[in-house]
Amino acid sequence: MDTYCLAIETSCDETSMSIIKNGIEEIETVVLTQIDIHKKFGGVVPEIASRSHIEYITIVLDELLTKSKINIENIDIIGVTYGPGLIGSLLIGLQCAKTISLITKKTLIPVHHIAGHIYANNLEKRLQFPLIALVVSGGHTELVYMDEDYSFKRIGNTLDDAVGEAYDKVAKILGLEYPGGPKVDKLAKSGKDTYNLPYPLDDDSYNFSFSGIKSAVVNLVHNEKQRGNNIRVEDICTTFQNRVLTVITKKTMRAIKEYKVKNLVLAGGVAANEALRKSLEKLCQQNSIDFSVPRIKYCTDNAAMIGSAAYYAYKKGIIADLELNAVATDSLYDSKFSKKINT
Amino acid sequence: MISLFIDTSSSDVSIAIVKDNQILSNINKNIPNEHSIYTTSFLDNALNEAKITPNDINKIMVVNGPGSFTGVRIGVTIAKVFAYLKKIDIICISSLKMRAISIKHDNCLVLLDAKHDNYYIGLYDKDNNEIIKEQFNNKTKIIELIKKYNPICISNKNLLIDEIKVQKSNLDIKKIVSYYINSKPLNCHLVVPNYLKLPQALEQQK
Repeated sequence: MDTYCLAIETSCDETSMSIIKNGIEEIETVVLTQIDIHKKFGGVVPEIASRSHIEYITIVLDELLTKSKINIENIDIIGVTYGPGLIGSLLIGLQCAKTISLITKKTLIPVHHIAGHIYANNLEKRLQFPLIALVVSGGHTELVYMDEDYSFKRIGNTLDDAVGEAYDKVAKILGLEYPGGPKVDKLAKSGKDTYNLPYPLDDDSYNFSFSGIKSAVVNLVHNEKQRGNNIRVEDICTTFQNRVLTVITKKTMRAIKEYKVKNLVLAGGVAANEALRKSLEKLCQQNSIDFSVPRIKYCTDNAAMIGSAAYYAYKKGIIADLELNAVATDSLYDSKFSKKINT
Repeated sequence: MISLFIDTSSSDVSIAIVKDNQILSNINKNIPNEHSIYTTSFLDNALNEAKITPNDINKIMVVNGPGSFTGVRIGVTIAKVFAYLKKIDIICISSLKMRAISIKHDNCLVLLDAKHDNYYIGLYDKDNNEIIKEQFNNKTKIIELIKKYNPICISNKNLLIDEIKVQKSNLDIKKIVSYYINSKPLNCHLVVPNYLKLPQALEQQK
């Protein structure tokens, strides 16, 4: 029997809903982004994000049901991002999901936002286990090992800033408009690796650290300005990106070898980074393993990925009742929902 | 005609189901910071207690503010989604005015704590008409209004503002529902919270 999932994602500044069939087939997705609203503040303003979510929540739901021509009664499960994210934003999607569950009596599935990003890849082609997922976004830089569906073991994490955060901060120092991370990637293509910047946490662990290289860029720009030197923005972008991606690629390579995986999965907003995609694709070719990467539109926050993850969470019996709450921070690896399964 | 009343604007969560002028069920609990967890299950309980299903609801009355931003959004989101799925309209209720409606009075000043010595303020005559526009303001304004209008002062909790004693007053759901029942209903997509206050980021810009 087919399982249709209505998925809802409002963890940051995108109001998104989707209908996914059997965890793999996208029926319809609606994403309403607030990026233009937050641009003038140089970042997402939580209260403004919450206000925008509530304004559009039923409009997005209506557009989804109208476009997909699916009656809400024919939905089997409701997947919703319960965290991590901006609490005020998460709450809108959560209350929406709980109300739909109350009225339709359909099962509510709590989905972890990072699980969603990993499962964005499952919409491209079925994940192959065991796998290593490299999760890179504005809030995360993690290496995750999975030996089966919806089972997550973190083997590495950032000790300070997330990689996307470092990109955005470097962009800000260089005077690039928010969100600046993608602009660094773009400018890096036309620059040269001429500056002296350190390799970030180039050690034997699977952990990452980006605050050092970020500070190094701050100091570099400051010193060059003091000396009256011209700042070659492209060259800084190239150098910064080279250092960061060298370490990420190196550690990812070690992980896929040590864990003898069949599949490397790239996930999160920074998965849109072209240089990173190319570097990992090459790595996978050399090691003859499958490389999965979401298409660009599924790298940013969207409900389609939540709908895919929700299906596999449901298969594992991870469900919630009407008292499900949103949480701003929650680790995927010791979440109360996965614990329920383990014990 | 069966109406569903939802109020999550203060530390209380209040859900009531009212048929004509009879209360079928009423849940009222003080659960500060736990609205997000319990409101939908209270709603489920209220429906069960009234022995009706969501299909039996003809109208939703939701308190859309002012009050706690997050609190208000919880009730309003539930109301919007419920109304959308059941294809019914929403009537918005003021968290200030409903307290004046709940009691007999001449002039009535309703004050709700908005933190840092600020208040949401509503002033009504004996027929519950607004004497001033509902607003976000400080105690200087409150003292000025009290001098000018000599109103009874009420709130959702006992307050002491300088020398002014503000009485806690409870909601009279029947009175509130019958007052609002013929108000202009809104399509769910058009319903938004009435914050009476800009987000901090926008205020700083001003």
